[in-house]
Amino acid sequence: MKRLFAVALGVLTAIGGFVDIGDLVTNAVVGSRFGMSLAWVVVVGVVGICLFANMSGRVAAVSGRATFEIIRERLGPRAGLANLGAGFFINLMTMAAEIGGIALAVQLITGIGPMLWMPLAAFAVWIVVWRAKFSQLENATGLLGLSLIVFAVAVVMLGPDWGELARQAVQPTVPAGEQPATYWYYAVALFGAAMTPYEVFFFSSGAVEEGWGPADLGTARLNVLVGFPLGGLLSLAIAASAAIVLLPQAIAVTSLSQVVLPVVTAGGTVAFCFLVVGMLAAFFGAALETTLSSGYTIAQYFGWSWGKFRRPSAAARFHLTMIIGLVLALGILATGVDPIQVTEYSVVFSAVALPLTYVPILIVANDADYMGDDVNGRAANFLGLVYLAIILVAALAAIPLMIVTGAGA
Amino acid sequence: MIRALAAAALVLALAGCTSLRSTVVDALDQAVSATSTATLAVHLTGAGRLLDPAADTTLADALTELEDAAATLVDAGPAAPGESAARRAALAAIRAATDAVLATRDDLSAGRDLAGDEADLRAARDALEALAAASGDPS
Repeated sequence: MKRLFAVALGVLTAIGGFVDIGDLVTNAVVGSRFGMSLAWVVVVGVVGICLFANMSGRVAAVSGRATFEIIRERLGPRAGLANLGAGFFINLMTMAAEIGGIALAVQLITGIGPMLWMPLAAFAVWIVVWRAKFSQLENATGLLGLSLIVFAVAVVMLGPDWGELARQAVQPTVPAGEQPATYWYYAVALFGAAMTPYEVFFFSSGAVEEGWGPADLGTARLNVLVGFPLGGLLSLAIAASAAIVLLPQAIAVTSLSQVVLPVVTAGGTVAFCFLVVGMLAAFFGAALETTLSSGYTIAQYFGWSWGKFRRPSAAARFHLTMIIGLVLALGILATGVDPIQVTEYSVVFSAVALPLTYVPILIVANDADYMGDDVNGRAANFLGLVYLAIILVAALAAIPLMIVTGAGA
Repeated sequence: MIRALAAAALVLALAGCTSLRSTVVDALDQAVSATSTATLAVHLTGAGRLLDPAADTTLADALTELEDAAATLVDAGPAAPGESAARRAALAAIRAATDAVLATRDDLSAGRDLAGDEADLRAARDALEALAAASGDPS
């Protein structure tokens, strides 16, 4: 019974924690401009994140060490530094986007501009990272994030033409008025949003925080293979709600306030309240994860003491790194840049950095010195290589597509 | 190798260049999106489905988009013969839409009835859509 509860809790938090501001905004933008014609990218992205999260979780559970620690040891300091630099930069952008997202969500219920809320949100993130236990912060935000299921409820309540939605998803075409290059730019952005590197850093470090061993592999696999695909369905619901309400009215999403309109159209103020709770939990949870990931990556690279399972005084540099990360993220937001734009750029740069994150994981997961008998099987390696090809294409195409399309304008 | 990279950079740079006509179409599309957003927000507020702070935020975001659309047109380079009139017409329509959203925001803040504002916003959006269609927007 206890094990069943642990699995259920893990799956639920995986669903609730799957969607962050990158997923929310990118899926809403795509739904409002391309309907469901990019749904296939969400499927490809979810399979990819399941594959690599499962791999990095296995590495952590078998070796007892986080993936990033092993990457530096296995590939050397130079390759590790490239991985660290790219990962930390993307993580910082994502952290800024999540904190900005919290501020924008609070603005929706107070009407007071986001600049006031950004430092408060960053302070709240720091307090929770400093004081709360790892399991508390993961479970609370993950479970509250389940409120985003209101998107799926809204889609049903809107009574769409299911056949038309399915046709758009199964027979994807570039809508009239959109350019093929823009379509592919958003395909790369959606892929980057689904496979954003911090999820893997957090997942593998979280495995060490929670003391996973080989006996926990089954539970971890269930969390990933059930929770993430259901989270992916949530992403599709976000795109579908925008496709049903916003696309016919020629509304192209550029702000968070537009993302809520389909849900409000379907369910009024009650649905709006669920949505705000879900968004706050999702953004706050992702802000915690990215803040922790900034500490994890730096501390693991330099071999410092790290982890929430240690008292802050026993992992001082780990905690200092997170504080510096939060200050830098606030600095980005203090320039007055639109958090939604930061989000859009962060998911595209995520796509650029994907090979630096996922190639090393594939290498380490095949190293018998660390993994013993639990190295990747043939199926995992075949899929891993297929995804490596996809990741390389996405990474190489991201910047040229950004220039050609004017960042998807 | 260096030549190939330079050629690729030139192609990308040229691809980034746009004509005034396409700039006008893009600005009008942006304005249509912003005005439609404001119209939907006002409709939902009038029906008691959207809370005032959320509606106010939506209108503020719509205003930012309209300002951005107008700035894009103002900042565009000199117009070729025949394009100047199109730009002026687009700017006038965007400014009319901006006025409609501003008036709506004032009425929302004052707690006044928004039925008239919704009609004004619809009229502003129709004008923008007509201009966009006349400018050759395929959508």
